[in-house]
Amino acid sequence: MTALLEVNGLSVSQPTARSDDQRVRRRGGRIMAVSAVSFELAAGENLGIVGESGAGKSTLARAILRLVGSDAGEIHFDGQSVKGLRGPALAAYRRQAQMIFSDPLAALNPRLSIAETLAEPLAVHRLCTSREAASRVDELMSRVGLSPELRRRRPSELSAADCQRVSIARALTVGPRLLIADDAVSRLDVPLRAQILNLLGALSAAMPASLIIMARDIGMLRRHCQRIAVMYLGRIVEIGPTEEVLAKPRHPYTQALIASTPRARGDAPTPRVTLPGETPSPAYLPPGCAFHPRCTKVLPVCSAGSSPIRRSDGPMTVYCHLYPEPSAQRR
Amino acid sequence: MPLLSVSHLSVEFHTPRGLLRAVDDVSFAIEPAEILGLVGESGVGKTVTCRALVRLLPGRNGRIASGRIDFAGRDIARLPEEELRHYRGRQIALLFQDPASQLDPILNVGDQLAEMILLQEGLDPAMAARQAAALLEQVGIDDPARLMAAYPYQLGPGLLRRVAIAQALASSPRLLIADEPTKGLDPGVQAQILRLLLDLRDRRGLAVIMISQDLGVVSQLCDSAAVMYAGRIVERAPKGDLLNRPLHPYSEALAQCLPGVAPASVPLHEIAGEPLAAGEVIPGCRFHPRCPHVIDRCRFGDVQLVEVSAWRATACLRWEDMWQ
Repeated sequence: MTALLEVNGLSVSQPTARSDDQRVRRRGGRIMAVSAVSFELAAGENLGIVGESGAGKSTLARAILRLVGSDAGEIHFDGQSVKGLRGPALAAYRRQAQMIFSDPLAALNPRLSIAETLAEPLAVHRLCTSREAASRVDELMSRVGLSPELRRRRPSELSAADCQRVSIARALTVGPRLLIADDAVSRLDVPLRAQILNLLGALSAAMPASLIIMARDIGMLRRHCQRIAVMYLGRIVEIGPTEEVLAKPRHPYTQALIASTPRARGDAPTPRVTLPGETPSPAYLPPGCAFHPRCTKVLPVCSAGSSPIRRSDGPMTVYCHLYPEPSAQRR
Repeated sequence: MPLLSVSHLSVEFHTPRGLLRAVDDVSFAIEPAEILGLVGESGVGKTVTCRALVRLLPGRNGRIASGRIDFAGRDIARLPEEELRHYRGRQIALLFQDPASQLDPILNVGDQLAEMILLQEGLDPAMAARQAAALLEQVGIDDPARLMAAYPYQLGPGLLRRVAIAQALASSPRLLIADEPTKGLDPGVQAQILRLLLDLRDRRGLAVIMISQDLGVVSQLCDSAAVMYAGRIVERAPKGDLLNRPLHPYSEALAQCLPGVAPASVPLHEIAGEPLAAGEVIPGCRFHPRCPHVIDRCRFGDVQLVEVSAWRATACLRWEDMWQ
């Protein structure tokens, strides 16, 4: 199976609004939001990316779609580098790769009705005549479970979940082969999250597109993703098959993240603090493994030198000094 | 004897479209050192109920229409404004949804806490500062001196929460009303805040009413829970019973739509339809248009909350079927 998307050593820095810190200012007021991220996504595959706020999920999504530039690394879509795309070639790429943003209300133009919102990409990409557009809009609305009565409504008149459905429908207008959902449910009411997650699952089952779902809660991903990548402070720390990640997480951060996810059970254990302190700001990245100050299994090597290199353990790829290096593994 | 006992509380708002009853005949009680969860989707009346407990209703058009709020031998619903000040923010402290809006952005943490302490006890500033440091230690901050010089915008979401909790504790309250105290927090920080609330209960005997949409959070923190729907309590139960054997289809649905991490390969449960608009009243059980177990009887009359045991109450006509 050839990869639809190949990300190789991708790094993205971003300007910071407040550079009152000397170290940050010396780097031109930029912080590393994504560092050396590599992964592949097969056609039709669903990949989940889990990480807390500040892990770099949104920046990674934006960099893949070329909404922000990258500092280093390569992105290949269908074998073709995305980095140098301009003009019509970039527009063609954007027809194939689409995004659903995390804040449904902010992602929609408040002055356009739902029908106008959905017809706009059809016109921009010249996908159909304006006469055909009306029926395409109806079809899209029914695909995402929106009642046709909402055609003339504006986003402010819709519930947050319906706004998210519009956002999904808008991403589908161009018939993308890659859909990235950036934390699409965390701002919704708990019962509504289930609706949107099920919708994403049903859509991905019904169409050949690949899906990247980003979330802060690993439980949101397990049903619809074949593989899960875990991000911490801009880096992927672990990536592998979903059930393996959940059943036998290798990286101490993943273990702590899963342990701190509450389960709704009558005999639920009292909350345990598995992640002491807070995620440091990406402006103050700890040396060595960025997770070492919060890690319970920290070794002397973890705080020295650069980030741990890639190792594999069974079906998992993990970036952690607890596991032997590739050269040692071969012996 | 319960610390707080709410009986038949109703809250109404005057709106251009007429009188809107956001909270309708709600009764519950909380014991000292108990943690009670108030559960339901947005707009079911959880926040309005809690605001009514200290008569801090949003806007000027709301009022407590009927009912009693008994706290320490007094009925708060009928207390003169002068006396209310001894309870609101003092014996009953509030933790708002957004900690950043609860704190003053132009005061540093130390001044923020000292302001509360000075207001209440008439101490001198040096003693107030010492007390502020002690409060911060109580909420799990190792280095209070450094934090006291920081401004709210410099703090991460977890620390901001802790400072807001410290501020609420400044008046040594007996009851803390926490409105979605972990909303928007990452799972790791969420676990820290839940652990802190539990420790405060254990160490200070603090009673907590916690509003939440998430039964996962409720199952970790609360002793008991009341589930609200369309302005009413539809089920009241100890936490274990509510999750293992819910006696109202709405409680059951809330638990089933959580993804969790336990193995399951079926689609997530969805609650069909939309919740009623705030104040909307329909005949019969208010949940019946969305209920998978609905029968004809559910569509008529007024379905009341009934006590089915000493600890449990449900507003489902078919609770006996659910029991089996």
